[in-house]
Amino acid sequence: MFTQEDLERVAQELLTISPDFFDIFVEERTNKSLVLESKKLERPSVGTVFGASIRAVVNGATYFSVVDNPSLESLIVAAKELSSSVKQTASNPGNTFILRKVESPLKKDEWKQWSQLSEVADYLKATDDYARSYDSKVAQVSSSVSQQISNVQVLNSLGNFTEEQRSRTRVFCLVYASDGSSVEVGSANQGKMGGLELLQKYSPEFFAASAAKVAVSKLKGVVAPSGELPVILGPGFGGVIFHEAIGHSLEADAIRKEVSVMRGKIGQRLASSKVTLIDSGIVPGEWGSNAFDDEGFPNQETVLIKEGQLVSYMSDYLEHLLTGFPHTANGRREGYEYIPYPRMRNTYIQPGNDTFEDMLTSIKKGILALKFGGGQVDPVTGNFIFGVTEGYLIEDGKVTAPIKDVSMVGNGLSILENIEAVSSEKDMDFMPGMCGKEGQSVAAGIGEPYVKVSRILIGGE
Amino acid sequence: MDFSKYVSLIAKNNEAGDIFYSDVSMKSVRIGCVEGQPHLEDVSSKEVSGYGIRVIKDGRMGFSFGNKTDDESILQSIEYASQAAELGEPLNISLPSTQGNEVTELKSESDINEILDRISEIYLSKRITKFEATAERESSKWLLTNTSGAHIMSSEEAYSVTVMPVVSGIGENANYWFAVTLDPENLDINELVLRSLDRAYSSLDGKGINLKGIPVVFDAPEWAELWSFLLDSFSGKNVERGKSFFSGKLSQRVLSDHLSIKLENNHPKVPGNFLYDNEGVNVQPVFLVEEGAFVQAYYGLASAAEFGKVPTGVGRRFSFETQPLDVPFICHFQIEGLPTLESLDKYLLVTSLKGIHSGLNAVSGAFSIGADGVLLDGEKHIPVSGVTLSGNIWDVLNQVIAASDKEEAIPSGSWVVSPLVALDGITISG
Repeated sequence: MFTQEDLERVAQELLTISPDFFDIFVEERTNKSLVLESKKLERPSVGTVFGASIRAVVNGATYFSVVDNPSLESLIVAAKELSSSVKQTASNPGNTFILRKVESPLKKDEWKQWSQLSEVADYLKATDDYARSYDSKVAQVSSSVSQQISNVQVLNSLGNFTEEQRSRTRVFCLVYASDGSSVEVGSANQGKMGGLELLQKYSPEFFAASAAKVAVSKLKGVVAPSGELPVILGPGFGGVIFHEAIGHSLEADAIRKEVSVMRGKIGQRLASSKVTLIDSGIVPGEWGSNAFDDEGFPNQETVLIKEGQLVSYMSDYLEHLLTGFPHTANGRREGYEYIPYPRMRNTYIQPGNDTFEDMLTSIKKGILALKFGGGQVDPVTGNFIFGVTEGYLIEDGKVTAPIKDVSMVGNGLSILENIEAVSSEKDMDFMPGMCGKEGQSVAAGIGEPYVKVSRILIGGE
Repeated sequence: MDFSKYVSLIAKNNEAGDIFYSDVSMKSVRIGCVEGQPHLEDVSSKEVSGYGIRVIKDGRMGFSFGNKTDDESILQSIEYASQAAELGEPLNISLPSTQGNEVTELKSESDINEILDRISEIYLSKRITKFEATAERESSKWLLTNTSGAHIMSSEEAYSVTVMPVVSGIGENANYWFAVTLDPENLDINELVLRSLDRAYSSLDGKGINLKGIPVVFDAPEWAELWSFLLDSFSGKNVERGKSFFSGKLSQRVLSDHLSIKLENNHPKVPGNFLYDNEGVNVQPVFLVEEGAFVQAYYGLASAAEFGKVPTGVGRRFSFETQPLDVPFICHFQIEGLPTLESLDKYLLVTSLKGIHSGLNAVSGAFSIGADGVLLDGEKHIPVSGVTLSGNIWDVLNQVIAASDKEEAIPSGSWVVSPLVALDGITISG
C-alpha cells in the first residue's frame, strides 16, 4: 500500500489536465475459500492480488487506467499517460488541493481472523452430516465458506484520503433431495461484514436444516396456481424484489441515460405511506456496508422512498457532476480493475406497524414467498421476473402446502402501488447478495420484514 | 515470465503441480447517445496479469494465486498452495506433458473510435436518438508449465463490438447485438446495427398473450444463454454425483434423434482455435449427444481422476485467480433431417429472456422463465412482451421440429454454435 504523500504525488500529474474529478484507488485483496461436496473437501484456495486504478473525468467522459502490482513510479507513469491521452491542457496547471483524511460514520468492528483454511473444515463436515441426517431423501450436499479481505485506499480530487479494511465472510449450503423420481434443491446462506464469528452466530445445523427442509418439502410440493394472487414477501430475501425492480431504476446513470422508468418521478407518490425504502452503506455489520464508498467519500444512509413518495436517486460523484442529483456516496466497484458506478449497498424496506398474522388472515388464497433464486428486471419498463425457491400456499388465512419453484412476474411501479402492509422491527432481516451491473459484481445487502403485496402475477400451472 | 524454476522447486519437494500465468490487456471505448447527441462515456485501458499455482501433495490438490512476481511472493504462493493441498481429497491426478504454442492473430487492425463513429452515424441516419455502443480490443496471453514437463503458450487477440439501441413506439424497448472478430476492417457494421434494431423492435409495445401449440424459436443469444445453464448437466462430475438429469442415462436416447451435440476445438464461425485447455490437456472433439443418445460426459483433470475417466480438455480458467472449471470451449449443435423454419406456419421468436438463472431447474428440467419476442405468423409480425415460457426443457428438447439452415456462433461461457431451432411443448402464458 502507499502513503498519503505517495498518492498526492500521483495526483499532481492528474492536476495538469484540470479534470472535473479524479480518483486514485488502491487495493490489496485476499480471497479464501473451501468447499465440501459429496463429503469431500474440495478446491481449497487462498491468494492475494494488489493493484490500483486511476480515473479522471474530463468534460463528462471517464478516462480510466489500471496498474497491476503498482509501484509509486508505475502509478506516476500511468497518471502521466492518462493525462496525455486526454489531450486537454489545463487552463491553470499546477492547481492543487487540500488533502484531508475523512472520517466515516460507520465505526470499525472487531472481527475474527481466518488464519488457516483448515479452521472451517470441521464446520463444513458438520453441515454435511446434519443435512444428510435430516432426512433419508437428502441425496447430495454442497457447502462452502468464503472470505474476502480488501484493504483499500482512495484519494480523490476533492482532497479526500480514505483507508479501510473490508472483510466479508459468507457461508453457503445447497441440498439436493430425491424421492427416486424427482430431484429438488434447497439452499441456505448468510454473509456479513466481518470474519469467522459468522460461523459462531450461525451453526452448521442452522444452514443444514434450512436447506434440507426446503429441498425435502418441495418433493411433495404442489404447483402454485397461476394468475394474480396476493403475496407475502418474507423477511430478508423478499427485499431482492425492491433491489431489482426498484433500486436499479433509481441509479442515477440509468436516469441520465433515459433508460429508467423512474425518470422524472422525484416528488411523486409511488406507494402507500407504509412504504419507506432505504439504501444504506452504514448498517453495522451488514453485507453491503463500507466505511467509505469507492470514490473516497464517507458512506451514508439514503432514503429513496419516504412514506410512499420518491425523494432521491442513488448517485456517485460523477453522476452528481453530470446531472446535479444530490451526491449519495453510491460509487462502488468490484475491485481496482473496474470503473465505479452508482450501485446499491444495503437496500431495505423500513419496518412498519402491521403484523404477519394479520397479513395471513387477510388472504383467502395467496402465496408466502420466503426465498428467491434471483431475478431480472428491464429498467426501461420496470418489468421483472423472479424465481421463488421457497414458497408456500396460503389458504383461508393459513400457510398450507409448500410449492414447487415458480416465477413471479410484474412491474416495479405496480408492486410499489400494491403494497398493503409492512410488518414490524421484530421481523426485520438482512440477506447478502451479489449485484451484477456493467460486468461487475459487488456485495449488496437486501432487507425487509414481512411485506404484503395485494397482487403479483404468479406463473404457475 | 519464466516459471520453470518455480515448477522445479515444486518437483524438488516431491510434489506435483502447475503454474498458470495470464496477461490480459484491453482497450475499450464506450459512447452513449441521448436525444440525438452522441457523447463519449468512457475510455478504459487495462493490463492485468497474475498466476495461479496448483500443488498436488500425495494426490491432494491445493491452489493459490497472486500477481506480485517477485521471488518472495511466488514462493509464498507455492507454500500457501502446498498448505491448502493438505485439506483436499486424494485423487490419482496425472498432469499432462503437452507442449505447444497456440496463436490467434488479427487479420486486420482498426481504430475503435472510428468503428464507434460509424455506428453512431448509422443509428442517427435511422433516427435512432438513444443508444449505447462499446468497442474493445483485447489481447490475452497465457502460459502453462507443470512438473510433468508441459509447456504451453497461447496468444489471442480479438475485437468485440456491442451495440444497444433504445427504440420508441408507444413505449420504449432496448435490445443488443454484438460481434467478435479478428478482422475489424471488414466488420459489417450496418448488419450489426440492423440486427440490434430488429431485436429491439421485435417486442416493442408487445403484449402478453396465451399461446398453445405454437413452436418456440430462441434467437441465437437467447439459445446460447439457455445452454449456459444446461451444459453443466453434461459435466462428468454432476453426472457421476447424481446432480444431473443425465445421471444413470448413459447410452440412452434422451433428446430428439434429430439432435447431436458435439464439443469442438475449432469451428469456422468461432475466432481462434482451442487446441489445449488451461490444464494442458488436448481439447478432444467428442459427441455429448449423438442422434439423441447421451454418449459421453465431459471431464477436466480432477473430475477425470476422481471417476477414472479420460479428461476431454475442458479445464477452463476465466482468470488466474480461479481454479480450472470444467467448461467446454465450443459446443456445436447439429440438426439433421428436419424442415427449415420457413416451413412453419407460425412460431414465436424469443429475443429476450428474463429470470433464467432462477426459473430453470436443469436437474429436473422444469422451467418457468420470462420472455419477449415476436410472433411470426406468415406476413404478420406481432410483438409479444412479458410472457412466461414454461414446461420441461428436456421434454422440449425431444420435440425439435425445424431448424434454420444457417449457423451462428455466440460466446456464452462456451461458444455455442447452432442453427435456430424450433421447439414444441413450451407453454406460453401472458
